[in-house]
Amino acid sequence: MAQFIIRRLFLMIPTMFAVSIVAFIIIQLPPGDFLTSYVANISAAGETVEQEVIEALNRRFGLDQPIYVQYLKWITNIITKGDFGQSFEFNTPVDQLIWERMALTVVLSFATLIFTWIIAFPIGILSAVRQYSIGDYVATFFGFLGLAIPDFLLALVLMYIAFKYFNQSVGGLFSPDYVNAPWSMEKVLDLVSHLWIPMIILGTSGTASLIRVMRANLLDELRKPYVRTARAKGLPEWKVILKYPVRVALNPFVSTAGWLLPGLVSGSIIVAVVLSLPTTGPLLLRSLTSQDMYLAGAFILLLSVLTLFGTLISDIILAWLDPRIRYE
Amino acid sequence: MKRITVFLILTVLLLTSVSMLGAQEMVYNQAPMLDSMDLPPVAERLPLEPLVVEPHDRIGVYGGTWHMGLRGGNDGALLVRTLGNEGLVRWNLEWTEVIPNVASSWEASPDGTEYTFFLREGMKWSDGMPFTAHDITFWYEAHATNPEISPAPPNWMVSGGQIGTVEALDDYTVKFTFAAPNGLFLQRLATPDGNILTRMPRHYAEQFHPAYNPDGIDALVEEAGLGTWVDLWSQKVSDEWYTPKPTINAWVLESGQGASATQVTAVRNPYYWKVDPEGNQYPYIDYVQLDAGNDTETLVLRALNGEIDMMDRHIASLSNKAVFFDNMEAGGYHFYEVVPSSMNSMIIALNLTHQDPVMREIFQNKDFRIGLSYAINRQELIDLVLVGQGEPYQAAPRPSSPFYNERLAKQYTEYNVELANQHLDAAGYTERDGEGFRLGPDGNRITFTVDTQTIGLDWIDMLELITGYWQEVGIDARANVIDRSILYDRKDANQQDAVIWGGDGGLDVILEPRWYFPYSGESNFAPLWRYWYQGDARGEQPPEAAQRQMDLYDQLKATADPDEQAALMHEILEIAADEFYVIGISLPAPGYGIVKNNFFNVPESMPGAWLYPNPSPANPFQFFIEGEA
Repeated sequence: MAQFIIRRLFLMIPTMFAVSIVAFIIIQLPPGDFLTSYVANISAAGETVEQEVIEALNRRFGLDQPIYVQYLKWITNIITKGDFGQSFEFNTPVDQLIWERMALTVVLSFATLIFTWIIAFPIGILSAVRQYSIGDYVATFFGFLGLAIPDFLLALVLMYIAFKYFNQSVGGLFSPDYVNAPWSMEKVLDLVSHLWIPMIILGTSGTASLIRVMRANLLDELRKPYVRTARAKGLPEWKVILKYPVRVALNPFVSTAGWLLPGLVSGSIIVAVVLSLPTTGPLLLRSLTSQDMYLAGAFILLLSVLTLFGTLISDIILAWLDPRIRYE
Repeated sequence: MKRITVFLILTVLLLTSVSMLGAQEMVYNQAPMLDSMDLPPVAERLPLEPLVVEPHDRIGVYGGTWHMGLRGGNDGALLVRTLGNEGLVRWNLEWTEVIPNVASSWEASPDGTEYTFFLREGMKWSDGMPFTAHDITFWYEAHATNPEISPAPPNWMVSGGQIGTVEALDDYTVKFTFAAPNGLFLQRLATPDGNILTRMPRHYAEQFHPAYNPDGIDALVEEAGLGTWVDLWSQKVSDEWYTPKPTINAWVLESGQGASATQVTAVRNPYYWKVDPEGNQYPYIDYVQLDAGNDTETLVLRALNGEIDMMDRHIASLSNKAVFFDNMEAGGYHFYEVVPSSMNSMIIALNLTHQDPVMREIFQNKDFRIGLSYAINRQELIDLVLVGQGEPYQAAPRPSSPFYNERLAKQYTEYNVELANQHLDAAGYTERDGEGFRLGPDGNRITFTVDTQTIGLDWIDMLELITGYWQEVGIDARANVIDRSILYDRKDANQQDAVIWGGDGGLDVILEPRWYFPYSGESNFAPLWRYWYQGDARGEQPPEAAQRQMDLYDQLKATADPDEQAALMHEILEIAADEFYVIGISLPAPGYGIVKNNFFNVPESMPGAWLYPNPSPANPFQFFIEGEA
C-alpha cells in the first residue's frame, strides 16, 4: 500500500509540469493580453490611456517578453519561493487573493456535499428497495426535475420569489451588517441562516443524479444470489441491504469522489455569480475574462493539483472499501 | 529636517487658527455622532473660510446610512462619483461652469500659460493634519513626474510638448506654469482626471516612496508581498479606494474595495471643509455602505426591494425602467432624471483609413456614406430595439448643448431607399452582380464586416436590422460580434472595416470631440489620421478639412477665453457636418436613477457622464435622510 502511494506521488511530479505548461499556453491563447482588456475596459468608461503608459505597464508586467521566458520566470518563482506571482488587476499577491476566498468556498462545498448525501442516499436506497412504489415514482419525478433544471435558473427563480413574496433580498453569504464584522457567534449564525439557499440550489442536481445512480446500482445488486442467500440464512432485512448490496453500490461514488476536490474551487461558478457569493468561482471567471495571467494560472494549477490528489484519494478509499480491487 | 518643517508649519497653523478664533462670527455645528468623539472643536477642524454650499432643496438633518450597490468587488468609477472627486475646482450642477472647490479662488493669465490657485487656510486631511500647497507639489514631484509611476505625464498637464511646472508660492498658494497656452486646463481639473492632485497626503504617502523613505521602502514592499515599490505605491497611495488613508472627501473609507471585498463602507470625515449656510458641517449622512453584487441583476433586485437609497449606475437601464416603475410604491422610491452626455445610441464608423486601398476609396466616398445613412430605417430601430425611446440623430451635440448644430444632427436621417440608391449610384457603384449586390471600383462585390462587442446587446440587435436595410440597396455588410479586447486589438492594428460604438461627446463637446474630427484613439473612423495628429509615426496625413479641424482645435486649446473657445468649436462642428465622417442612429432619451422617498436634496435632473461624474457635482454631502420611506 505504502509503495503504491509513493509511486503515485512520484508520478504526479512530471504530470504537474506538463499541466503547468499546458495551462500557461491555454491562458495565452486568446488574442491580446491583460493590457488589451484593461485598456478596452478603461476606454469603455470614457477614460483614455496614453501609449507610453501602456508600454511601461507592458514592461512592468513583463508582457513584452517571449512566452517561454514568462513561463520560466513564473514556474521558477513557484518552485523556489512558493511565490505564485501577482494579480495584475488587483495589484495583490495571487495566493493572498485565493486563500481569502478559500475558507468560505470549502464551507459551502462541504455543506452542499453533506446535504446531498443525507438526502440522496436514503431516498436512493428506498426507491430501489421499494421499486415502482409511490415513493419511488415521487423520488424519480423530482430526481428528473432536479437533473433537468439548470441550477443558475433555479437561483434566479428563488431570488425572484424571495423578493416578490418574502420581501427579502437573496445574495451573498452574510447580512450587510456582518460582512465586515470580525468573526463571532452571531456572525456564524448569520452565515448559517444564509448558507441554506445556495446549499439547496447547488445540491439539487447533485442530489437528483445521486438518487438515480444509487437506485440503479442497488437494483443490480439486489437481484444477485448472495442477497437471497443472506435472506435465506435469516439475516434481518436492514442488515441484508446495508451490509452487502449498499456497500457494493457505493463503488461508483467513491471512484468519482476524486472529482469533488477540484469542484470545490471551480464548481458552481454561475450560481456564485448570480447569488453574489464570495467564493473562488467568480474570481476564477473574472481572472480568465480579464486575462489576469498569474491569477488564472494559479487557479488552473490549483485545480489540477486537487484533481490529482482527489484521484489518488478515491483510489485509496476504493481499495479499502472493496478488497477485490488490487493495487497492481 | 523635514520633520522640523512639518512641525513648524503645524505650530504656525495652530497659532493662526487660535488667534483667528476670536474673530469667528459664524457659529459652526457638527453631527451628533461626533459629540462623543475625542476631537478638537468643530470650528478648529474647519478651515478659516469653509466652502459654504447652498443645499439643493433645504437644510437637512444629520444621521443615517446611504446604501448603494457595488458591481463586483472593484468598482472605482462608482466610488469616485459618489464618495470622491474633490478636486481643486469642480463643475456646477448644470455643467456649464467651473466653480471653486478646494481652491477658494484662482487667477489665470490671459494667455492661459499661468494658473494660480489659492487654497483654504486651516483646511485639514481626515486625520487632522494640515492640507497645504506642499501636498500638491508632492503629487507633482513624487507622482506625476516620477518616470516609474508615470511613464508619461498626464496629457492635461502637457502643453507645448512639455509638462508644466508646479510650485508652492506659500503654504496656501500654488502656481502652474506651462510652456504654451493650456486653455482647457481648468475644465480638465474639474473632471475626475483632476482629483489626483488633492489625494496625495504627503505626511502619509512619503513612507511609500523611495525618494522620501530610501531606507525603509524595501521592507514595506516585502511585507506587503509585492514585487516592486510601484505596486505598493499604487496599492497604498494612488489607488484611492483600495485601502483606507487620509483624505479630504466627505466620507472616509473604513474598508476598501478589492478582489475579495463584498462590502465597502465609509464614515463621515470629521474634518470635512464644507458647511451649509447655517454653519452646519457637511456631510449630513453619517455612513455610506456599498454591498457588492457580482451580477447586475442582483443589484436590480435589491433596488426594487428598496435596499438602495440613491443610485443610477449599473441598474438604470432602459429595459429595467418598466420594472422599476411598476414597483415604485412597494419599493418606496421615485425617479430622478439623468441626461446622458452621450448623443447617440450607436455610431457606425466606417474605417476611412482602411489598409486596403479599394475599401479606402469606397469608404472615403461621401456619397457612399450618405447612401448608407438614407437606407437605414431609424424609426423602426427605435421602436423595435430601443423600446420607442429616442429620435433619429447623427453624431452631433445634444439639443440642450450650446453647440447644437441642426445640420450636423439631422442631415441624412430620413429613411428613403430611393435617395439611398441615388447616392450610391452617384458614388459610382452602379454595376451589380448576379445577386443584386453593387460592385466596387475593382469589379468585386462591395462587402465588409461591422465589428461590435459581445456585451452591447442592443447594438447586436440593431446591427442585424441595419445589415438587412443595406442589403436592400445592394450593399453586402455583415455583423461581426467579437470580444471587446479583440475589437480593440483590431482597431489598434487598423484591421477593422467598420466599428460600432456609443456616442460620447453630446454635452462635453469641447473635452470629448472624438466623433467630430480624428482626435483620439476612440475616433474609430480614422485611426491613421489621429495617429498623425498625435505625432505617432504610424500616422498618415489627413485631408485638408481634417487638418483644418485639428488646427482649429489646437487654437482652441491655446486660448483661455471661453467665448473664443466656443467660436472655434462651432467652426470645427461645421466642418464635421460638411465631412459627415460617421453614421449615427438615435439620440438617447434621458436616463433615470432611483432615489428613496426619505432621501432628500437630490436634484430632479442632472447630466450623466464620466467627465461630469454624476452624481458628484450634485453634491452628495448635502443629501440627507429623514423619516421612513
